[in-house]
Amino acid sequence: MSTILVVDDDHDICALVEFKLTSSGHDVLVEHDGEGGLAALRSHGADLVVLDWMMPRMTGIEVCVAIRTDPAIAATPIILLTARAQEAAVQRGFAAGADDYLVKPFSPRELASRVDALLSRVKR
Amino acid sequence: MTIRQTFAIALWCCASGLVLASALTVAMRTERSRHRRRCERAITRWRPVLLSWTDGRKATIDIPTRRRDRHDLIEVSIHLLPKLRGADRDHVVGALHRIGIAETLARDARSRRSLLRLRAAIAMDACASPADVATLIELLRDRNRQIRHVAARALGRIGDPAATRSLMRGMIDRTIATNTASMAIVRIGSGAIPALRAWLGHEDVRCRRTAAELLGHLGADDAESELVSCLDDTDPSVRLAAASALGRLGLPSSVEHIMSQLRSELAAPTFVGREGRLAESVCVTQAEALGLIGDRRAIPVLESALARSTRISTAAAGALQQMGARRSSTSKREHEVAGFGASVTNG
Repeated sequence: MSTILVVDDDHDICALVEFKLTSSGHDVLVEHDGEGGLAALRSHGADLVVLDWMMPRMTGIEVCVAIRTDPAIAATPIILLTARAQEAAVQRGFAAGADDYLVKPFSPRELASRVDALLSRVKR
Repeated sequence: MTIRQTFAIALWCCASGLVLASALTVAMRTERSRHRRRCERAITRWRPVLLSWTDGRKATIDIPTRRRDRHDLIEVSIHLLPKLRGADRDHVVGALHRIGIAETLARDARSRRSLLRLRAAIAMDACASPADVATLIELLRDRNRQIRHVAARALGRIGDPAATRSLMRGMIDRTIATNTASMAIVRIGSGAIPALRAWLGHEDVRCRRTAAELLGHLGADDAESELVSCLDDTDPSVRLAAASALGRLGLPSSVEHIMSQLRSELAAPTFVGREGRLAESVCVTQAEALGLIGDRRAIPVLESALARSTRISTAAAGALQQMGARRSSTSKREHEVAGFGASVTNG
């Protein structure tokens, strides 16, 4: 069982992701803004982060960069879950340190598969 | 009336106005917080139900019979469904239909209250279920512009070709914004092509023009002959749309027709006045179309266009440059292939 941190200001998305990942047997922590997400990751730790891009206080990209520059949590896999579908946005997301990128509207079961794939890759 | 009495009346009016305004503000705040609490209750109650349906489980809850409960469920669905995609979404929509939400929406869509009709249209847009097509087509004739807009968008999302004619008719009647209807038809995709081909022969200019534009966007190669016929339409905007569509299709078989039409348009001595400017735009689009197709047979006519107005000569130069770029990229490709062949032979 892994702990997944979901950071999104949209409560529906958080509920969806939490439901799907809990059904897949993961523990889920939920935060609704970038700063809270980063603080939760530093204090509780997580095996993977599902991160929205556009959030209050701190954007997903800023959180991504902050995670990658903090040696204690730098190895945490990140999936960006965002409405930004343009090629340039995807490039920017990966450049900021994301391991995977999923565009909204999304399929929760596809997200669960990506989470499992990423976690198994990290464990190997 | 003394000054004192007048002052007292004015003071009384001000005081009662203030009291009334305060009472109204309090009432509005109370109503807003009551509505917020109701929304929160609805979310707490119905969101877990909708989430459980994403797994494809049968609708295990009691079917909500109270009108208010059904409306709460619809409200929560409206917010959740647009965020979902794939099988999870299909499962939720299927469950909503199993418990009879489609009937509630169809009834609401015929309500006298525009707010209910609008919410029904939004919910149908969120569900994007083919079962709602007939109701949505009816809503395209609603007296409320916003409802017509949402219905058109929903029909595009559902993608049923049966809606094409109604969308085009709405566009001609000006009951639906051209952009909204066009977007919906493009989303319908290739299924809309037969209806659009038929509309190319319509008596209404806007209809012919929009049909030509949309056929180009949809990549309707089969409509080439009808689009070629539109190149000598009596209306310049239709000629322009047809040339643009043929350029998008990029079929070399249409080059001769565009060239001959460009020659005859260029025969005009000058491009002055509104008609002249339109004819000039037609020439520009035809030159651009020839550039997009990239057939070298068009080089002489494009060179002759270089001598005309700045707009036409710029378009012609761009088209010629495109052909040159194509030529150089072709030769580069040939060079690469030759190099690869040589390396294979040498290797």
